[in-house]
Amino acid sequence: MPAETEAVLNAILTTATDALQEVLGTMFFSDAAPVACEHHLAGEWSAARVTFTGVPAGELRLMLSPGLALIFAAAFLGIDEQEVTPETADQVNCELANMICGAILSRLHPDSLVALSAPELTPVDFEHPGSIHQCFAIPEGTLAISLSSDAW
Amino acid sequence: MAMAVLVVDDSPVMRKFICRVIRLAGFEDAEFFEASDGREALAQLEKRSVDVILTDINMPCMNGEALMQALQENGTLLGTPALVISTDATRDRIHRMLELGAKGYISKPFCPEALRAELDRILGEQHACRN
Repeated sequence: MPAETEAVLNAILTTATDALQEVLGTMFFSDAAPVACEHHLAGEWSAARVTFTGVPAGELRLMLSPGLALIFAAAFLGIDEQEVTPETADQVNCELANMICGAILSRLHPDSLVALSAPELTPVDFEHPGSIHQCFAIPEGTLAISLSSDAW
Repeated sequence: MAMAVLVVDDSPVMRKFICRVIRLAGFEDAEFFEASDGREALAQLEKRSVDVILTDINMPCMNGEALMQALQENGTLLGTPALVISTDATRDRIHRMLELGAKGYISKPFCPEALRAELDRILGEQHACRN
């Protein structure tokens, strides 16, 4: 990979990490640190995606390791994990993807007018073609994001 | 008298979160009404008046921009302050929503203190205008 391209991708990953940490720290009382991918971890991950149109256009996919959506939902809503229904956990997963996507785009492209789609659940896909991918260690599990855009 | 708040967001969990944060921010007695898009919000506002509207932008059926336009065109609702709460923090979007009459703009993620400060400012201005 050319050094210039690598520098751009690293800058995007740094921005994505900052945005993710702000979202988790402010609204989920959690933290995240970039780690090497460990997708071989057993269990059923959950995933949500948000597409965006405008300049740039693309999509963000968020993948959560087993049980993490439920933990995030409890933290987000201030309730016990036992009170979280699967439907609520899915909705919080989608909302988390929405906030991460918005926070990243607002930092990368503060002068653009980009429209985000409604977030939706999606099959887990760790190797989505053309995307920048990063895993993050969370105290309670692992979170992964894949970001693709026509801007890079 | 308790503050009446209309929360407009297509995400049920985000509506719950906003209501919880407002209570945590010191408005324990606030009364909440919810709508999942602009159309539902206008239907709610036909039935009751509220002290403040908190609205998202990206919503199906009628988004936040269309809601702000509708509020501007409705003489009765023009005096009800609206605060935008959105994931979109781009400069153009913020400028556009303020031009459409929003009294404030908070980007997600946000902390209770930020929301409290905006509500205090907006409701304070509203109170001063009425007097």
